[in-house]
Amino acid sequence: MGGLTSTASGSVLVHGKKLDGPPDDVVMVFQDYSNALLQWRTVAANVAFGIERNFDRKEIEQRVRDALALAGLEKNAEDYPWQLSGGMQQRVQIARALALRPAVMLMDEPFAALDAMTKASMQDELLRVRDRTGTSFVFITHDIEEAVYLGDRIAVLKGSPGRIEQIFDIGLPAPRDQLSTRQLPKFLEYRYDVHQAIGRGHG
Amino acid sequence: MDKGRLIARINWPGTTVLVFGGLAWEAAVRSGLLEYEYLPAPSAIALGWGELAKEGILGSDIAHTLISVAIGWAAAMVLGIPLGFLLGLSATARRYCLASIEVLRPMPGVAFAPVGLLLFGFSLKTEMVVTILPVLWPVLVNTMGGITGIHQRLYDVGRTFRLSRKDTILSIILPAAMPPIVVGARISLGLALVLAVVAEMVGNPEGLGYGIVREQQALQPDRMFAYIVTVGFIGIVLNAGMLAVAEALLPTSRQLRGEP
Amino acid sequence: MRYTRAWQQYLKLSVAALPPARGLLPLVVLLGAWQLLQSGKSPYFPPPSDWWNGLMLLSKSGRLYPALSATTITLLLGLVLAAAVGTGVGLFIGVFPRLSRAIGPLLEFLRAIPPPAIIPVAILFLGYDERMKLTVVVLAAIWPILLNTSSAAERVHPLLLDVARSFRLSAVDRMRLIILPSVVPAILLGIRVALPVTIVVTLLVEILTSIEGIGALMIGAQRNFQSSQVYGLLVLIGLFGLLVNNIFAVFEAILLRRWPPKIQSENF
Repeated sequence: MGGLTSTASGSVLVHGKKLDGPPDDVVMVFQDYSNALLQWRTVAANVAFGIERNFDRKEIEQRVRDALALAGLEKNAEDYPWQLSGGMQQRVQIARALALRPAVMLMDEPFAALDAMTKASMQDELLRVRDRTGTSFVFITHDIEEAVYLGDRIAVLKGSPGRIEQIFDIGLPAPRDQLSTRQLPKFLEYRYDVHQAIGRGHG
Repeated sequence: MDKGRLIARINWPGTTVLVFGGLAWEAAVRSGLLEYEYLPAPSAIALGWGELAKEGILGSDIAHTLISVAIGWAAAMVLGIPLGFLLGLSATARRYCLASIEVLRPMPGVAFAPVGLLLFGFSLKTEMVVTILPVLWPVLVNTMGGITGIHQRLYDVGRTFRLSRKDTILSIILPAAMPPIVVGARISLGLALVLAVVAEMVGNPEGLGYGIVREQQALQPDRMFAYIVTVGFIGIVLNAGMLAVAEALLPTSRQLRGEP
Repeated sequence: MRYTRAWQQYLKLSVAALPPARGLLPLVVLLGAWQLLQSGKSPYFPPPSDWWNGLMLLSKSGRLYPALSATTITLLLGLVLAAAVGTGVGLFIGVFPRLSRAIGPLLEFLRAIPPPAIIPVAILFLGYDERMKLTVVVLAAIWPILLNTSSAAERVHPLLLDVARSFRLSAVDRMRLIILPSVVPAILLGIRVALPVTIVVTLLVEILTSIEGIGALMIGAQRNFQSSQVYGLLVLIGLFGLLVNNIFAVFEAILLRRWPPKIQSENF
C-alpha cells in the first residue's frame, strides 16, 4: 500500500474513510524507528525531512511547529533521536509523517517494539492526533486487542500473499479509554470474532 | 563441497575483471596505445620475474626479507606477549606504563632508519632497528586488550567453580584472550613485512626492498614491477597463512577470530 | 544535553580518558639514565641534552622550520586529497554492489602491495619532485579511506533506503541527504587509519630522495655523522606524530558529536 512491500498475515484496520486516494497522499511510518530516522539530524530537522524540498522557509517552519505540537515534542526540537526513548523516537517519525499533512498514514506495526505502558499511551496519542487532523490511518498490527481498541474497521489478511479474509466494522463508542473501553462486552465480542477469523486459517 | 557450489562461490565478475584488465593492459602496451617508457606489459613483467628467478637473485632476496621478517616478528612476539600479559593482568603496571606506550606508539618505523644506519651501517641489524618497535605494538596492545577485555562474568564463573590460579589462567584467561592475541600477531606479521621492505629500501641494500630500488635506479621497470608483485604476493601468502593458523588454533566463529 | 556545548564535554572526556601521567615514568627514567650514563659523549649514543643542542643548531641554521613545514604541508594536502578522492570513489563503488564485487579482487590485490613499494614506481614515472611526493602520499592514504567508505556505503541500513523511497527522494538527494551522512563516521575512521601510513610514506620519500622535509634533514644529519641531530629529529618526529594523532582525534570527536555515542565509541 505504501508502495514498498506487502504484509503477510495479521489484522489491518482503517480509520474513517476508505482508502482509494492516490499513493502521493500516503506516508509510511515504520516499526524500526531507530533505523527509520536520520540519527545525525535534530528532531526538528528530521520532522522537516519530508517537506524541506517542497516548500519555502516559512511554510516549512510552520508545518514543523504544528507537527511537533501534535506529537507532543515541542520541548525536544533540538535534541537528537539517539538521545530520546523509543516512544519519543516513534513520535518523531509520526511527526515527520504529519508534516506532510497526508490524507492517509500507513503505519507498519509502529508500536510493536515499545513496552506495554508506552504502547498504551502512544495508542491514545494516535487517536488524539486522528481527531485533530482528520487523517486516515492504515494501521498494521499483530496485536488483536490493539486493532479492536484503535480501529473503526478491521481487515483480517490471511495467506501469502495476503488476501482479505474478512472485514469487521467496529462499533465501539468514542472517545476510547484504555480501561473502560477494553472492559466493554462488545470489545470482548469483537476480540473473539477477530481471533476466530484469524484462527481458522492457521492450520 | 560439490562442484556446483564451488563454481558458485568463485567471484566470476571479479575474476573476469582481473583477467580482462590484464589482457587489456597487455594489448594496450603492445599496440602502442600506452606508450610510457616505464610502463611494461604484464608479459614483460612475467619475463623479468623469470629472469630474476633464474639468476637466483630473486630467491636470495626473498630469503633475506623473510629472515628479516621472521626475526622481527619473533622478537615482537617474545617481547610483546609476556609484556602484554603483565600489563593486562596488573592495573598498577598499566598505570605506570600506558602513557609511555601511547607516546611511543605513533612513532613511524622509518624514522629509526637513520638511527639504525648511524649505529650499525648497512646490515641486518639496521633492519631490526627499524622493524622492532612498530611491530611490537600490535602484539602488545592486543594481548593487553585481550586480557583486560575478559568479562568479569568469566572470572565469576571461575570462582564459582573454585578454580586454582593456575587453572584460571589456563582455562579462562588464555582461551579468552587468544583471539585478540592471534589478531595482533597477524597484524604484526604484515607490518613486519612492510617495515622490512622499507628498511631494505633505505637502510640495508639487500632483500626485496633493495631489489625494487635497485631496479628502479637501473631503469629496469619490468624487473622492478616483478619485485613489487613478489612483495604483494608474499604479503597475501603470509596473511592467508596466519588466518589458517588462527582457524586451526581457534575453531570458533570467524567474527571471534577478527576476520573481516 | 544540548549538542552545542557537547564539544566542551568531549574535550573534557578526552582529557579524562588520557592515561595517567605517571605512566611516563619509564620514558623519563630511560632518558634520565641515558643522560647520566653518557656524559662521556659517545658518538653513537649522545645524551639527551645533546639532542636538544643539535636541534637548536638546526633551527638556528634556518633549516628546521622549512623542513617541518614542507613535511606538514605534504601530509595535510595529501590527506585532504586522499579523503576527497577516496570518499568519491568509495561512495561510487558502495552504491553499486555489483561493481564492488567485480572490482573486489583487483582492489584486494592492489591493497596487498605496501605503499612504500610504490615509491620507486612513482620516482620512475614522475621524477624526483614535490609532485611525485604528493602523489605517493595520496596513493598511500587513499586505500583505507576508499575501502571504509565503500563498505559503509554498502551497509547503509536498508530501512533508510526504504525511507528515501517512501519520501520519493531523487537519486542525488538520496546520496546527499542519506548515504553521505551515514558514511561520515566511516570516512573519519578511514582517515584515522590512514594517518600513520601517510606519515611513514612522507618521511620515507624524504629519506629516499632527500626532497625537502624532516626525513631529508634526518638522513642528511646521518650522512654527516651528526648523531645528536639524528636523535633530536627522531624525538621531534615522535612528538609530531603524537600531535597529529591527537589533533585529529579531537577533530573527529567534534565532527561526530551528532552521531549516536555507539558509533562514536566504535571509532575509538
